[in-house]
Amino acid sequence: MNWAFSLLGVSSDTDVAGVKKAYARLLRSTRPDEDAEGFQRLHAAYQLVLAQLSSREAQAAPSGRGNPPPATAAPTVRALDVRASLASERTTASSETGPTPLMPVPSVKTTPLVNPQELLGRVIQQAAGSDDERTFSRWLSAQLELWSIGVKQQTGQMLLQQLFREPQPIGTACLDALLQFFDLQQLTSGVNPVALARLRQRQLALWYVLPENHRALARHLNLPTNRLPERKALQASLDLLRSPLRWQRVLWPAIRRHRTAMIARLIHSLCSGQFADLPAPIDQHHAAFWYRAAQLGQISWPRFAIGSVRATFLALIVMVSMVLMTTLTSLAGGSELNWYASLGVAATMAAGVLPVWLVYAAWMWLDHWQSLPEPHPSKDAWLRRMLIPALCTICVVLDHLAKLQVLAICIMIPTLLLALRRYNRRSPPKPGKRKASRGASLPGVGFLLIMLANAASHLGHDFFDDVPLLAIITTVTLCVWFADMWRYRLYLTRSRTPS
Amino acid sequence: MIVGIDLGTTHSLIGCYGESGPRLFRNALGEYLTPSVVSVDDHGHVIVGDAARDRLVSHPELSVASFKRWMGTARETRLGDRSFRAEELSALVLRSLLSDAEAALGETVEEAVISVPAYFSNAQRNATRAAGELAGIRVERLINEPTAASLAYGLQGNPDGSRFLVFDLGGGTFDVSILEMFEGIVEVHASAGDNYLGGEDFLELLQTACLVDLKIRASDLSPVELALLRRRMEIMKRELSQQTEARLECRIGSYELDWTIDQERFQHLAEPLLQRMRAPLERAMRDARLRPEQLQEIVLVGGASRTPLVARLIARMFGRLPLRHVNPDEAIALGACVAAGLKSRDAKLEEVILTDVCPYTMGIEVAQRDAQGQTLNGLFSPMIQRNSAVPISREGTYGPMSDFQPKLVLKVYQGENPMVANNILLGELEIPLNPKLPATANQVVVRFTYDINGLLQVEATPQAGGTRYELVLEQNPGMLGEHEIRTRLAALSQLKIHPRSKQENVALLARAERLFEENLSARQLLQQWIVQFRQSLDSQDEQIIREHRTSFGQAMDQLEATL
Repeated sequence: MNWAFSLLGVSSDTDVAGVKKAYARLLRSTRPDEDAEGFQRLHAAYQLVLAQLSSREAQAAPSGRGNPPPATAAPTVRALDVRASLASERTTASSETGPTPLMPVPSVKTTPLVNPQELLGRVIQQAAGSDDERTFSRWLSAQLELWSIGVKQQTGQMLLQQLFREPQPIGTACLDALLQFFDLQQLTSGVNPVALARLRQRQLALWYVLPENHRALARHLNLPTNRLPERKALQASLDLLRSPLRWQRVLWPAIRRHRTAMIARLIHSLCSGQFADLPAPIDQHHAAFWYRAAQLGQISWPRFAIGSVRATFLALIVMVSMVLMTTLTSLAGGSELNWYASLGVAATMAAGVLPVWLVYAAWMWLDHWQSLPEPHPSKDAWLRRMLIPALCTICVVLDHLAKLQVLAICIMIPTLLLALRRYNRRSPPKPGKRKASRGASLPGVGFLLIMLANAASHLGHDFFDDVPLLAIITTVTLCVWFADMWRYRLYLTRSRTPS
Repeated sequence: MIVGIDLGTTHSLIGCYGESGPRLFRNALGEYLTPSVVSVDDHGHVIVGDAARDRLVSHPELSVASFKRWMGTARETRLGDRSFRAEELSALVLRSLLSDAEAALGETVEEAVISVPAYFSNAQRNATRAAGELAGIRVERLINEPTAASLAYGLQGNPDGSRFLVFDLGGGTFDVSILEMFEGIVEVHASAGDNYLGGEDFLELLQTACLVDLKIRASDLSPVELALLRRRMEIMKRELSQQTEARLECRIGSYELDWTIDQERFQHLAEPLLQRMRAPLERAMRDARLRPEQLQEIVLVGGASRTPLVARLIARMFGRLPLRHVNPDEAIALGACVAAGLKSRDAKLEEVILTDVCPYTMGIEVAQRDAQGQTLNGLFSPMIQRNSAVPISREGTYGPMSDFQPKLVLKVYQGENPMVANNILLGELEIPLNPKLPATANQVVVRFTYDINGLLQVEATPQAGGTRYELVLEQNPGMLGEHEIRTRLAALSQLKIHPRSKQENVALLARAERLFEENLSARQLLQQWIVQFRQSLDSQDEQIIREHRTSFGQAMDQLEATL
């Protein structure tokens, strides 16, 4: 700040006129068409000093000097007060021309005194009530009060504040028309585009939740709009989301894949991941639960819960069908039914389903955790990096000290797969080549390989004695892991030396 | 000698900064305003100015007007056996203006300051420069039209330390600038505008309304008839600026036209155009951070601002009446002359310094990753904010989205929307990166430099390797390259142009031909006059021609007055 004052050669208590005089004097030696850099510095300093002076002035007289005479009704005056103080904050210097500015025709008053608050209310009401943006724009441009620049600027400012405070159900087209009319969509209007996008999302969600807009929502979700079952399903999903999260409510939709997917899509189109933006009747935790449950590629508690419900359901089906089958075969064979034996077999087979799911979930979790990108902020970064060598060490120890070769190989093969997948998923995406998602099939392949290795180790015992299978796999795994770490060596050195 | 030129959509003017301040030059017909119309006659000679405007009626297929609107595009028009780009047509107008200046000054002119609408884009400014080069002059500077107007207005002796708004509604473009003058400094605070809004659009409205009311389809009229109607409409538009009602009563082709329009109806028709004027005005006021009360004056310039609709618009928006004591047609040209004087460092202008702003925001396309890890594409990251003082240079550091990215594509955009899809693409720059480095080590420093003439330069330097990459904006489609300018310059110099001394005769004949098309009753008489005048021209006796010219002109004045 001080450099600006010293560049202009003025002291910090100079008034605006003095600053301008100094600027004009210096500008003659640094003309914009001759000394571009010098001019830039000078102009920046000049702007800074002017901003400083005006903010000081605003602090000294917070109400602003341009107060209107208190002649009209109270709400109008208050509204205008807001405007005056807003303007005095924003403008560079409002009072530099003295208390009586030169105005050629100050008496002409074509705009009547309006209350912007009331006007704003009307505008928002109209926006929320209209479906067609054309008629709405026409209505807006026909408003006589909004012709006045002052009134319009003020209304536009208050409009966004109001909308951020309490979003209204306004369709995207109408909101765009509204923003366009008040010129709030552009960069220099000072509105954060990301915040604006969120605001749009919130308003759209509010609008979609209204019963009369369900058809539009269904169209947005690519559901057939004219068929009753889909509309009913949509209605049911919305009703479900309105109620708080209870485990009994989750059970029935969880075992139907389509319903889960639809609920997730519905939530995505309503809030695109920002659960805080969901309109009031929808329970945020409930929505978050379904959204996370449907996210593929990583394991989360909701996903695990839904998966467990499904696995249990499957186990029940398996059990019931096993019992039925044994009953039918024994009836057909005419032999006596051994209830306990058949129930026991069924329970064992059904119980087999659950471990498979648990192993699969664990694999997904491990896979996701291992393939996180390197600059991911987490406390267990070193644990994540060293997991694969640690597993390798465990295997070698098991093999050499405990002589549990089969177990060592059973751990080593998934470790190799993990390392390969880690390398693959952390490499940069190649343009034009889409990555196939092999995540789901990999554990299956892994189990197959384990079985094969197991069988091989049993069958050709003599042959495999000569081949150091474990050593080869361990070496390959470590090589892959090392190649991945080498790529990211820059991050490793950086994290060691704090910047 | 540096001249100042106002190259307008409908009219152009030329002048210089002389002993007693700015002064304009008259053309061969003794007028300051030369219509920006180009026509080609039957022998392939090029005609510019009033004669060409008359020939718009009599030979619409051989004449062209309003070509400033296609500056910066690749559009071409066919005149006779040659097609012309907007730059070439402008160059022909410039040549005609320059010959007027050279005749008045008695010396050759090599440099000029040309005024352009403040809201002209990079491509349009480059096209204006190319037009200057095609006319054989060096364009020393491009000055924004409202700034020029305020230079002319401000130097007329204005109270110091005042802020004012210049409202420039020309034939084809609309500009708003807010300026402040103090201590001899003319500082532009904000500019805004619309490049496709002007007096021509009002004319278009009138013509459409007339044809709709009279139930005539535009496609039923021949080009000559349409041109005749357009000329009538122009007269009506002028009448509407002064009186409350205008009436059309004439015969065009096989149609008997009788149509009346009053100001109220005209205002209703013009409502969409007035709506379009609101946004630039509001934007300029907001960017200058001013309330309407803080403006000392509102100055109207440009021929189309004469219509009372504009005054009413200002009154509605600002709650006051505009000021109008500048000549709206000449203000910009006078200002361009002052700028020419500034450029040649005239001693009387030593105290005056002008600082201008860039009217657009310029920046690059970026992608962002939000907290959830989702990528948002197509965001606009501004480098130079609109209405920052020029010359300006800004630097920013950008990185690739992912590790080991092999290259970065820098797309340069101009516009105000946070999404690039709604902005204008200016150019693209591909920067190879080191594919062995992760994202954080592979950043690129981008520098935007916007110079005082409104031309943009973009540079990018990768931090890892030191090579500098520069964006060359001339390679855009719709822009003439160095080589092409040279070939077109050679082609243009092949064109035959009537010598300045003959231009009065050409103008007179063109006027007679226009009257011939307009009046069915006096056709025989006019034909007779034309033949007689051609005979006098053939005699090549200067004395006879001059006398005949005077009597011919008077006769036509009388004829036009009676109709």
